[in-house]
Amino acid sequence: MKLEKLNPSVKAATVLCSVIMLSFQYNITLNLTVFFSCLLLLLFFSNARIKHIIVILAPALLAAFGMFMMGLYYAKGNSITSAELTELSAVPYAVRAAMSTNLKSALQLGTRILSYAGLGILFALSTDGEEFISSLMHQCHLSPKFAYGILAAFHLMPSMVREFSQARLALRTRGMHVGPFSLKPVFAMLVNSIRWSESMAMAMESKGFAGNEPRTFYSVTKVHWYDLVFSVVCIGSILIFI
Amino acid sequence: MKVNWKLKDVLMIAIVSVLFGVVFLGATYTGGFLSGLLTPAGLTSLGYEPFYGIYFMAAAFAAYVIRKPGAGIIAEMLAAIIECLLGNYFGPIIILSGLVQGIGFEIIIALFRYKKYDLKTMCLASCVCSVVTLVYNLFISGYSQIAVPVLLLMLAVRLVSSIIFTAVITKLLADKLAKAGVLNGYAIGQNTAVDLEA
Amino acid sequence: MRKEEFPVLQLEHVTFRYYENAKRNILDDVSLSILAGGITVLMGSSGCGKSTLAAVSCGLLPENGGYLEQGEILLYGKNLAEMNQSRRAAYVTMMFQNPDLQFCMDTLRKEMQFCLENICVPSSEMDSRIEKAVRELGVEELLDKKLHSLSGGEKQKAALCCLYVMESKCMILDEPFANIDEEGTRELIQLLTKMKKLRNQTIIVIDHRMKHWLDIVDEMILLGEGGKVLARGITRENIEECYPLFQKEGVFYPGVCQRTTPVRNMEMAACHLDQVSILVEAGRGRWKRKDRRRQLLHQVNVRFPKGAMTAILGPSGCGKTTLFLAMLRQISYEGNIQFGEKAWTKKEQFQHMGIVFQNPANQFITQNVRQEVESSIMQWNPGIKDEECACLADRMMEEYGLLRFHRYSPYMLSQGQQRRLAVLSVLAGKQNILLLDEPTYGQDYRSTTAIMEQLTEKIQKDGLTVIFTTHDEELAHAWADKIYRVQEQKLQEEMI
Repeated sequence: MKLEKLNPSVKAATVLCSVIMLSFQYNITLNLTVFFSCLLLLLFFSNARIKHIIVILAPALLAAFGMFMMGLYYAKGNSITSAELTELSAVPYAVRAAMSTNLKSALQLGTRILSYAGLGILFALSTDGEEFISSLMHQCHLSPKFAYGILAAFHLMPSMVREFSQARLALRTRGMHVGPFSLKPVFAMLVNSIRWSESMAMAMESKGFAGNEPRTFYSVTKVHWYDLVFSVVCIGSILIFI
Repeated sequence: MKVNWKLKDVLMIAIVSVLFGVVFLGATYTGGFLSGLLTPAGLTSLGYEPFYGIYFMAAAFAAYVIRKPGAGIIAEMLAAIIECLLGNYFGPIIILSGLVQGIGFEIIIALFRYKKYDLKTMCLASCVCSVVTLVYNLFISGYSQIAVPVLLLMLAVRLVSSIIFTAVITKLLADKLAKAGVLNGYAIGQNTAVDLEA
Repeated sequence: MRKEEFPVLQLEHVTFRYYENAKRNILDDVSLSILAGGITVLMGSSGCGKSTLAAVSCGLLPENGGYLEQGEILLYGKNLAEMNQSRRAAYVTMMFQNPDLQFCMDTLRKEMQFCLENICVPSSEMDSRIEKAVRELGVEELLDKKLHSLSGGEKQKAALCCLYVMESKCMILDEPFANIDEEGTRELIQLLTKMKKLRNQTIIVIDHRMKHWLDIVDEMILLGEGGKVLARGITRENIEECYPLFQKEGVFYPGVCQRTTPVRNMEMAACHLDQVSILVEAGRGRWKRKDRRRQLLHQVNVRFPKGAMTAILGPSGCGKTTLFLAMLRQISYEGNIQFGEKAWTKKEQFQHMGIVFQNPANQFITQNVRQEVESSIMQWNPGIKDEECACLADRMMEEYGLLRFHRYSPYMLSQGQQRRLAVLSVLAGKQNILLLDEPTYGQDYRSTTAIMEQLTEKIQKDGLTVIFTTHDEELAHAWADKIYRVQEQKLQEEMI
């Protein structure tokens, strides 16, 4: 039994429920348990490769560490005067932080991000995007118009990246300065996007796509008993912990 | 809430969401760098705040251009689903955040009964969106544990960011597009379709 | 020859414009009927409403914009307005000119599934229908490749395959070859011939070049301003009678592209390529960052003559555009690219070199056509007086046939007009070298000639060096002073 087999909508809902439950808890052990269980599940019950897990986890760890540091310095009860706020030199804070009782809040905040990230990548690395959209259509009644609209835009990304760099270059050849936040190439791309959306809509409709009309489906994602078992086990074990 | 969406509207919103993602979120690497610098001072999250307004741009653009109830919420949800497809490490949580952001932005637009779209309204909507998302962060990200002065600082940066990106830049771009005749098929461009042939 | 004699598509007094309050009708009281079976080609100059006519015939317009003032469209005798998209697709499907914007899925197999789902084919039949279609058309190898990694020609084949699998009675192709090279065009023509033979589908093509179609077409129809039918029943046999009419309308006809200027033999080189090799990353997936690099050019030694026109031919995806990017130092390459004696800094390079990309909409910097031209003049001629500038701009716009649109936003122009404006605004500068990526694609004969004549004049007067890429061999032979063809990672010189 692999995580990939699970119904994406059920998986997403389970993750969301868990997150909401965890958001009311400040339990460090629970957070860490969730995080490591997710990692173990990914390692042993999915096709996710370790390299991908590491790549996607790195920024998450950074964010968690950031929250930890923030908690360490600025958690409630640790009175900070505005004078101190303006003087953001690290050293005196570090000294103070080491002795403060904020370690607990800091860990609470940091591990919370970890547990979210664990649940997030559990979903992200074991779910095929198209299957997720398909499942949103069949289980969550997302209209095909939106579902295929999202897929079309998503698949347009390679063209978009190429066109964007061309737009930047084209403007530079006309003597414009183009910085990372320049609006001119963004404007050109918006023009493209609107043209593209018209062309895409026409192309899809010319192939008989109507959005609201009945259609058949090559494959229909279904909810199986094991989806529900997964959901119940996940949510149940968090409830027990609480 | 029941609005008849045309396929090209859906595609437009989806493509624009991807675009804002590709174009501006690339710039948030700057945010990552900034927060790296701020980490020793314990202000990591603050590093991302200056770019927070970018997340609301899809909602603002859709609401401003399409001017129908639900446009902002749906746009933000689309953007979130797409980000989820891209493999964000928060996975489905992004969709929840998207919903909150969309609602946050549309509160003000709805209060004005989808009739007022001047700069003031856009700024107000962006500010409300900032506040709503921070409240959401209080619960979900545990910001309630953080000291109030720091939260206020974060809110201030987020407000400024959202006014710049969500209100001013989005409106600027959309107005220019409308003037260029590109948005004639949408509510915003309905009055600009004039015959220019001399 | 046609077997059946009943009309597939009938347009009756159709009047259509893009905005309700616009003064000009794109289609002005058009009545046209097209008979079943065989291939019909609709021709006409750029902007005569051909594409609009196609979209209106499929019910894509006014559904997606525009205003239909009057008229009725009948598909197989049934009123189009009373059918939904799914039903319409059983009668007519359409293929478009931009191969990048036709697919909503990422592989041909999934796209074909999407198509069959649209017309409510039971899922159990889908696989067999897909297999059958790709086998019959011989495109099995495209089935599971990522669509964005295919060449333009392959994408168009995939698009045709989608229409084929849907088995609609009639297909409309809107400039299917605009974005692809000669080789791809030939293959597509073969595919179409095959489809015609296998299923006797009715194929309606919109194109302003007839040379590819002459051998297989059953009837050609010439459309004029407002979509009015000027002549029909044109076939290979009687085509010569229509040459004067073609000439008047400015559409291509066989043999029209003749060399009128002598070949310039220039000694000086504007640009030297010395042992240039270009590698690009191929197939950049979400996770894959492997060194799957593809060699586009290998140790190329070439000199582009100064004050002359050089054409670069070659199949799409062979590295023509990439070479331009290398010349502008936008991508890394090995070897040496040198312009004249001294090396230019990046900034200087943009002052001396101009480039017009395939998508001209990317390079507009202002909000209307006049400003676009004037800002270029101002930028490259600092200190020019306002009246002088306006006067110059007027003259240039007049020459390019853009003066009547001078208050338009550049984005409201047609593709062809946009390209002319892009060339115009680049030429308004003081560039010595001009790179043009497919400068005449999607242009009718009149606009093509206008652009090429402007360039030739600029070469003669100011010693401009022009390097352009194209798929159109006739064009290259009629205008260029030197022709290179990209072949086996080299640039081979070709006799003119």
